[in-house]
Amino acid sequence: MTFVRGAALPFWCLVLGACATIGSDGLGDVGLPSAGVGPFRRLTSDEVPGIAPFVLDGDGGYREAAVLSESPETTEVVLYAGATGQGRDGIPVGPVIVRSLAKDGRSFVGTGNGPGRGTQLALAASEAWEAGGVHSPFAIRVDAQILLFYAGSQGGIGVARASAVEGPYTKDPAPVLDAKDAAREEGGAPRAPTVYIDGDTLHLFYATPAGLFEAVSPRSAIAFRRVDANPSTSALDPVLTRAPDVDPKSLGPGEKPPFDERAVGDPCVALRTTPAGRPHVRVLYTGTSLAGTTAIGFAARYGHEGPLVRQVIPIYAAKGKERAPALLDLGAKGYLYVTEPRTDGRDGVGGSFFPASGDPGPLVPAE
Amino acid sequence: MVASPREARANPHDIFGFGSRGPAMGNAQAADASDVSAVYYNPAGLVRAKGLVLQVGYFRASHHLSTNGTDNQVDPVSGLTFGLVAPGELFGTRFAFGLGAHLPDARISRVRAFRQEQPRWELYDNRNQRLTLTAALAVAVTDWLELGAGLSFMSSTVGRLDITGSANIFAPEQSQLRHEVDADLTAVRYPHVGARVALSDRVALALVYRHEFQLGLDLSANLKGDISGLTTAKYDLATSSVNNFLPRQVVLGGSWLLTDRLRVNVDATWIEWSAYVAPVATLSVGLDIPPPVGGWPATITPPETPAPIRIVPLRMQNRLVPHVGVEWQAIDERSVAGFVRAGYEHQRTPIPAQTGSVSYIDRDRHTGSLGLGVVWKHPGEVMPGSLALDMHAQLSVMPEALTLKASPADLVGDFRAGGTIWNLGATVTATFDGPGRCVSDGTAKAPGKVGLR
Repeated sequence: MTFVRGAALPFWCLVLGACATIGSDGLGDVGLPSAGVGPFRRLTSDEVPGIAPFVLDGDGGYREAAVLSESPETTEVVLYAGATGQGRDGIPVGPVIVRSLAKDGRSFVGTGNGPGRGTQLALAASEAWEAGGVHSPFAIRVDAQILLFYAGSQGGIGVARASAVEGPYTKDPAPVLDAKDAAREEGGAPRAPTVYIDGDTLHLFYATPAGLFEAVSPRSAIAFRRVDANPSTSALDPVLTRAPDVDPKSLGPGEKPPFDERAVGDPCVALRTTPAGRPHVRVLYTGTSLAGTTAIGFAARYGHEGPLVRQVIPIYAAKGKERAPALLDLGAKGYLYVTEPRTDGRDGVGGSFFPASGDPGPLVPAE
Repeated sequence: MVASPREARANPHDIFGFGSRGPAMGNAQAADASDVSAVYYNPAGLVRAKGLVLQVGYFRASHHLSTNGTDNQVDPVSGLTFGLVAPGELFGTRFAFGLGAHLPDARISRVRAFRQEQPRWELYDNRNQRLTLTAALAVAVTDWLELGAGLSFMSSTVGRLDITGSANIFAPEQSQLRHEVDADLTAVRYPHVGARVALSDRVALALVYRHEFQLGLDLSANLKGDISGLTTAKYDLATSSVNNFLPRQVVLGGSWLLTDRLRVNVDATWIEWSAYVAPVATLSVGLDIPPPVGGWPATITPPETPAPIRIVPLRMQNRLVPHVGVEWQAIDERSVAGFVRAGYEHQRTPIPAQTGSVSYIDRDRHTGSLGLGVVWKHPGEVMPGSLALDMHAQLSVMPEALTLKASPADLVGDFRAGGTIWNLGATVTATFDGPGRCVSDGTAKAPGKVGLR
């Protein structure tokens, strides 16, 4: 009997202990290290009501987006995009560049409308070298100015300047990288500019039929000169070329050929410093496969010279038609904007979010 | 989920110990443990129990592991530990049966699937948060030699998911799908054995072997159905992985009663991490979606068969983990005894620098511990024997260090990682008067004072 009474003590301890604890959902996977380039997931209909996964679409056929963050910590961003003006709402006919604003990174003003209705005209063709159209915007703050780089319809890269997002954007009359000066190795005119700042130097990456090339310019007075990614050879080497050819017979069952075996283009550069203090030049680009599908690739380098190393896995591929990436890197989270066709064949700017398991937060409609 | 790698898992005692006395003494217990914790530390020690032992305790180990300054919120390990030891004598030979278990209070088990490239705290995240159950038997072969053996029980998972019906991709709400799930948790047993040799009344040595075990996670999914009247899709997927791997371990331990009040324990645990199986699933996929008559509508892009996963091997390195523990009997009164304990252990990370495309994060671990114990020798009428309360506080420090990625195109990139783990707990042990037999470990008391370790 004494034994039974004694044994009851740990028994009740067990019972009380069990009752005092409650099951819960598991934790983990928070704040994991990342190079800030995915994995991304497409925005849902809850996150972009009515138009998911697009963040900007409409009659203008918005495309080739670029983003300019108001600050490194907020999701308030200006989005520049190529569009096609119809001669209405003060927008000239032909390829133009418009801008829009979102306070939450995804609710852009003017969504659903044509250019001039919510989206504002930023740039239209006016110079002869532009050949009637402006394309592929990329905006960056340099000192007190916003520099808006763009490409002409026949290639060549120009720049316009503004002291505020609202403009006006004043063009340099001559291209900063002329199509006529294209090197033999480039195989054609430069397009799709993207720029980052390294101290007193601006680094410009651009696309040509032969791959991605680089040019640099002093920060104080823009005058770009082409840079050889591999000075040990006599030719002008690109920073990135398409993936090497792969013999289909060498592929294993289910294994796919490189996603960028045919071409690389539409670069978008984002500079960061790694936790180890290394400058990390990250470039997202459009990779085109031999089958004609497109996906978003990632290439990078440590430091400010030399070729980019490509990641063999595309960082974003949904329907095989995504191209022209733009990255909004907010550190632990970010948005990727891509050009993708709507069901009616018109282009729109689609959005995806990083981290894939994360929540982009509440909708904040722009006024 | 099914197309992704799986995490490896093990049991919590390898990291946090069992009960409170062991964790307080740096888990240096192979030659010393004789209570319920002996089912883990060395089953041979069970035979030195002086009577029926019932034990229940609770601990909580909180991870504060961070990368790049952000706490990764690794799940804590917490729950009850409990068990019993029942000693006896047969044909003049002492023996004992022991049973020990850890019952997590948050969840019994958790299965998650990650991409191979996703960083994870390989030895802590979702590895130790699981149920354990161990049974052991010990025999005193002679007055100086004790032998023990035990079996630990875990479960493998085999599951199947069948989905049939019709999917309307133009109006998803009109889809009609039926699903069936069939999952089995199959038992897996792994042995461990131990021996303890009493060199004198004050010195003992021990040798323990814990066998490796691995739990499989085998899942299959079969989808078959009509897609909007266009075609019939068939999708068969099978994935197999090692869901839980515990490497072989050999422990050499010693216990020395330096004075009547001071005990020093030293263990060295060799862990065969090199046998570790990367927690990555092999995948077999069969996808058959014939195009409808006339081809696919322009708005539909049929899915493709996922590319196979090219598994990056994880080559861990074997490690020798030293454990040191001391116990000082600060109080030795007629009815109460009090103990102060301290310990230290150090494990160099077995995971090599993660400079490639995978990021199994780990760091060297320094663990210091403190503990207190109080024994009520004769609770009187409440129970014949003794009642002990042991408490422990264990702090593991993993100094922050950098991992540099070789490729600038790595999707994780350079990172800093480090952190601390706090393990706090308490254990109540009731030891009932047994046959009153003395044992030769130097800690045995006269028959009238049974119940002390």
